[in-house]
Amino acid sequence: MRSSPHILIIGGGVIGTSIACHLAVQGAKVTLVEAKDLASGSSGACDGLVFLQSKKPGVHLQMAMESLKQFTTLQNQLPVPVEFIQTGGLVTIETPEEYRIMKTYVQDQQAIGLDVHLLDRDQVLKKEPGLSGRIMGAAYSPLDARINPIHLTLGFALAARKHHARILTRTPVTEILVKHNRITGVVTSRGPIHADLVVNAAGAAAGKVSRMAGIQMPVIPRRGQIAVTHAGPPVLHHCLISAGYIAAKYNPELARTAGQGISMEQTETGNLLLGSTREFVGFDTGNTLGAIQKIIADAAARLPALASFQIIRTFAGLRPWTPDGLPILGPVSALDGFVMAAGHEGDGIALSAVTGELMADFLLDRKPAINLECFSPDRFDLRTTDPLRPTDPETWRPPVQAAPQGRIR
Amino acid sequence: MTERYRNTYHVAVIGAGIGGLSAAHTLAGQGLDIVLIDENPHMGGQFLRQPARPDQDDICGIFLGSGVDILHPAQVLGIFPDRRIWIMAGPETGAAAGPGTRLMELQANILVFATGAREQYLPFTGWTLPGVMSLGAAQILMKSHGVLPGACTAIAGTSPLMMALAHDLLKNRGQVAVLADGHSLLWKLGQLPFFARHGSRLAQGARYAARILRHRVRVLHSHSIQEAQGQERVSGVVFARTGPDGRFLPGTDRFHPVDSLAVGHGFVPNIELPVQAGCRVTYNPDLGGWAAAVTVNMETSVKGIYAVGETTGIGGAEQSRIQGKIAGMAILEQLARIHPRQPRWDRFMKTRHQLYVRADECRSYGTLLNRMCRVPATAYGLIPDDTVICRCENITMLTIKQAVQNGFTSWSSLKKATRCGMGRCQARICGPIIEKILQALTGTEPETTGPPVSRAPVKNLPVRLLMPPAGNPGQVSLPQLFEHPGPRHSEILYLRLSNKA
Amino acid sequence: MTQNLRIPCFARGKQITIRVNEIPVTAYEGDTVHAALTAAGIYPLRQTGSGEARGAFCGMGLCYECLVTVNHIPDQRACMTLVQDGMEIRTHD
Repeated sequence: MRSSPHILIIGGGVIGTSIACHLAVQGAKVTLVEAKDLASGSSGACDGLVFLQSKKPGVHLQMAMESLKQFTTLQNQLPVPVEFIQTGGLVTIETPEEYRIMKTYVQDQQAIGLDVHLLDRDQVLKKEPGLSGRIMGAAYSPLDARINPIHLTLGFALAARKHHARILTRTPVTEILVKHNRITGVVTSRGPIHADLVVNAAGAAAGKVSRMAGIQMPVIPRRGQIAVTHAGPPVLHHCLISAGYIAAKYNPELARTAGQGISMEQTETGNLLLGSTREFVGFDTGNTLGAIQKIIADAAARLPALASFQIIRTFAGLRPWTPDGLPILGPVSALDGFVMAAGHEGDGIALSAVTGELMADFLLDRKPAINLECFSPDRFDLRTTDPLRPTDPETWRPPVQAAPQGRIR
Repeated sequence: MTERYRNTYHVAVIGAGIGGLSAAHTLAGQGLDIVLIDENPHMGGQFLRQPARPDQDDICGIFLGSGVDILHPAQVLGIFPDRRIWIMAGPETGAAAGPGTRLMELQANILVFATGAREQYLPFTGWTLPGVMSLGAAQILMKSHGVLPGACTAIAGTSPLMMALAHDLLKNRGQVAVLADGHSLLWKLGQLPFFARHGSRLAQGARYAARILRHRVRVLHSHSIQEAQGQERVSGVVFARTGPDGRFLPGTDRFHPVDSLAVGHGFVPNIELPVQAGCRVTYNPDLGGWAAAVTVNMETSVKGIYAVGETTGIGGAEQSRIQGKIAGMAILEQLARIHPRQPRWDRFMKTRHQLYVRADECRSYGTLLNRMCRVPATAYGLIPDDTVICRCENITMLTIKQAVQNGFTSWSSLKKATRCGMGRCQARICGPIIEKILQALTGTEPETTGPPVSRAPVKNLPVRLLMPPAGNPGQVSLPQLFEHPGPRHSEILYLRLSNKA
Repeated sequence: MTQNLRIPCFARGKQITIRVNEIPVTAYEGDTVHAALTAAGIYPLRQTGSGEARGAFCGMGLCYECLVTVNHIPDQRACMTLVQDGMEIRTHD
C-alpha cells in the first residue's frame, strides 16, 4: 500500500464519522461523503442505549466493553457534549420463563467477568420506584450507559474535520469506480473523487452501496419505531429494556411468542424515548398506528409514572441487520480496496467508538487490538443459495416471519 | 385504551373553518356519510369567530338532518395508510362531565383537509414574556370571549390583521398604545393600485383606518420591535425605526409602557396532515410558504384527497369558501352523485366555472396579502444573539448561528445539531422562522432542503389514553358515545346530527 | 392589574366560578381557560426549566406555551380548554 492512501468513507452516520475521526486524528487523508445530512439515517433515529448486557457473550461483548471504555475518554475529547452517562441498566423480567432464561444468560456473562447480577422485585423497585409492581425482577449492570447518538455522530464529524478530514454532506454517491478489480474512486453528485480505499459505512443502505460495486452484501434494513415524550421530571433513572427485547434480538421464535419487548430511557433533557419494533419492511421509515399504540401502551404498563406524560413525536430508523447478528467489518477479498464497516443492527451506537478505532487501525495497516476475522465480509458465501442469504434488501423477508401471524395466542 | 370501534365514511372533512364548512355544506344532503372534525373549543375556524355562548353553536344547526356527523372537539393525530384517521376525541379535561377523552379511528374514502393557517413571526428580544401574544390570540380573546388582551396594548408586525385588531380593540373601548407597522407609509401607498380589483377589501381597510385615526392612535411606520421588557409579564416595548433591510437605525428607539403586545408577520398554511397523507407540498412565498399543491378541483397529488382554504396557500376567508365549494362539487362528481345525464348538470357546470373564476380572483388577492406581510429577508439574519428562536427548547439565535457556522445549514441538520423544533410544538412556531434565518444566513432557499416532515401525533398525545382505565369501567363504544346526551356545551363530546333513515 | 378586561354588553354564557391556584375566579360558560385567566389579569401560566415565565402566545392550540394543570391533569392548553363550574386550575406546575 502507498504511504498515504486516500480513504473515502461512504456514510455520515455514527460508524462512518467514528472511522473518519479515528483516521483523521492519526493524520490520514480522509474524505467522508454523506447522501443527506450527518446522522440523517439510523444514527439520528434511534435511542442512545449503550447496553453491555444485551450483547452476546464473546467477541461482541468484548467489543462493547472496549467501546464503553472509549466513551469515558471521548466525552472529554469530542467538541460536542455527548451526554454519556453510566446510569446502570435494568433488563426487566416479567415471567418465570424469562427468569429462567435470564439466569443462565447472566451466569454466562458473569463467567467472562461482566459486572452483572439478578435483582428481585423489591430490589428493582428500590432502584426504580416508578416501575410497575408486576415486574418479577431484573438483571442489573452498573456499566450500562446512555449517550446522545446524534451528538456523538456530530462530535465525531466535527473532531474529524478539526483534523482536516473532508466531510461532504448532501453528496450522494452515484457510482463506484473499479479498474482491474481494484477500487479507484467514486462518482458523486459533486463529481468524481479519487480514492485508494473505499469504506462502505452506509448502515442500512450498505447493501445498496455494495451493489454499486457489484458485490452482494447481506445487510437488510430492519425498522425500529420509537415514540418520544415531552421533557418531563425524572421518572426513570436507569436504561431499561425488557427481557423480551433481548429475546427478540437473538431469537425470532421467542419474539413471536413474547412480543418484541420494550426499551426505555430518559434523556438528559427529560424526554423519554420509548421503543421499539424490529420489522423487515424494506426501506420504509414510516410509523404504523399499531406499533405506536403498542409501544406506548407497553411502556406505560411497565412504568405507570408515564401516565402524566404526553407523546410529542414518533420516528423510525432502519437498523442494518445481518443474518448472523454480527457486523461486517474488513476488506472484501473479491474487490481490492473495498472495505465494509456496516451491519451493527441495533448496536451501532454502542460499538461506534471501538469500530472506528479497529477500522482505522486496519486501514492504516496496523494490527487491530481485536481480531476482526469473525466479522470478515468473506464469511458470507456469496455463491450458495442459503435461504438466510438475502439478495434484495428491498424485498427480502426472513423465513421465520413467513409463518402465519397470530398462530400463537 | 384506544377505541377499537371503527367507523367508515364516504368523506371526512378535517377542520370546520370556512373552507371545511363550505365543503361539508356542499356535500350535505346528497346521501353521503360525511364526518366533519374540528379541534377548536368552538367551531368556525378563525374567521367565523362569534361570541362563544354555550347555547349558540349555530354551526351544528346548519347540518341538522343532512347526513353530516360532527366530531368536536376532536384532534386528528395522524393519517395512516388506507385513509385511517387517528383521532383524540373530547376535551381532555372533560372527564367530569362527559365520558371523557378517548382515542378512536375512522376511515374515509375521501379526505378533505381544511386545516387552515397559523401566524408567523419575526422574533425579538422578550417575545417570550407573558402578555406578548399573536394577533390572532388577541382577536380570539375579544371576538369569542369578549375579553380585552390587556388594558393598554401595542400592536406590531407587518400583518393586515394589525389594523383589524386595532379597530376591534378601539370599538370595544380598549386602549391601543401604539400601532407599529414594519412597512413604510410610502411602500403601503404604493401597494394601493394592486388592490384596485379588490375594492371591498380596500373599503374595509379604509374603515379600519378611519377609526384608528379618529382615536388618534400613535401609528408608527417603518418601525419594528427592538425589545419587549418586563419581569413576569410585559411592561413595555421599545420600538425603533428600521431601514429597508430591517436594520434598526441608531437613536430612533423609544420606550412605550404597555401591558400587552400583539404581534404578527403574516401567515403560514398548516400542512402537517396533508404531508402525512403523502400529498405533495410546494414552497412559494406568495402562498405563505409551504402549501398543499392542488388541481383546479382542489385535489392534491393523492387521488381522493382534497385540500381547501389556507392549506393550499394563504388567501383569506373568501378563498376558503370558494375552494370548499369547488372541492365539494368535485367530490359529488367523483362519487357520481351528479352526472351529465341529470337535468341539474348544466347548472352544476355553470356554477363550477363561475367558482373557478372567483377562485382565481381570490388567489390574486392572496398573493397581494402575502406580499403585504413580507418582512425584508435580511431582517431574519439580524435577530440579536440572545433572542430565543425555538420557544419550546429555548434555543437562541446565537446557538443557531454557531451551528450554521459549523456547517449545519439545512433545517434537518440544524434540528439535530441544536434541538430547535424538537419540542412540544414540533416546530409549528419556529419552523417558518428558521427557514428564513437559514435563507438570510446562507442563501439556501427552503425548497432546496425539502418540505418539513410530519409524523403522528401532530399534537401532543397523553400517554394516559393508551393505558387501561383505572377501575376499568369498560369500553364505551362509539354509538354509545353518540347517544350521550349533552345538555351543556362543555359536555358535548360528539354530536350526531344525521338521521340516516 | 385589577382593571376589568371583560368587554361590557358582550353576550356571555352562565356565570360560574373556577378556582385558580385555590383562589375563586369568576368565569362564564363558553370561556376558554385562557380567556377566563386573562380577564382575571393572570398572564404568566407556566415556567420553563430555567424558571422563566411564559404565557399564552398563539391562542389557538399550537404553541403549548399556555400549559396549566386542570382538575389535577397536568399540561393542558389553556386556550383549548373550556371552563366548567368548579374547575380547579393551577399555574406554574
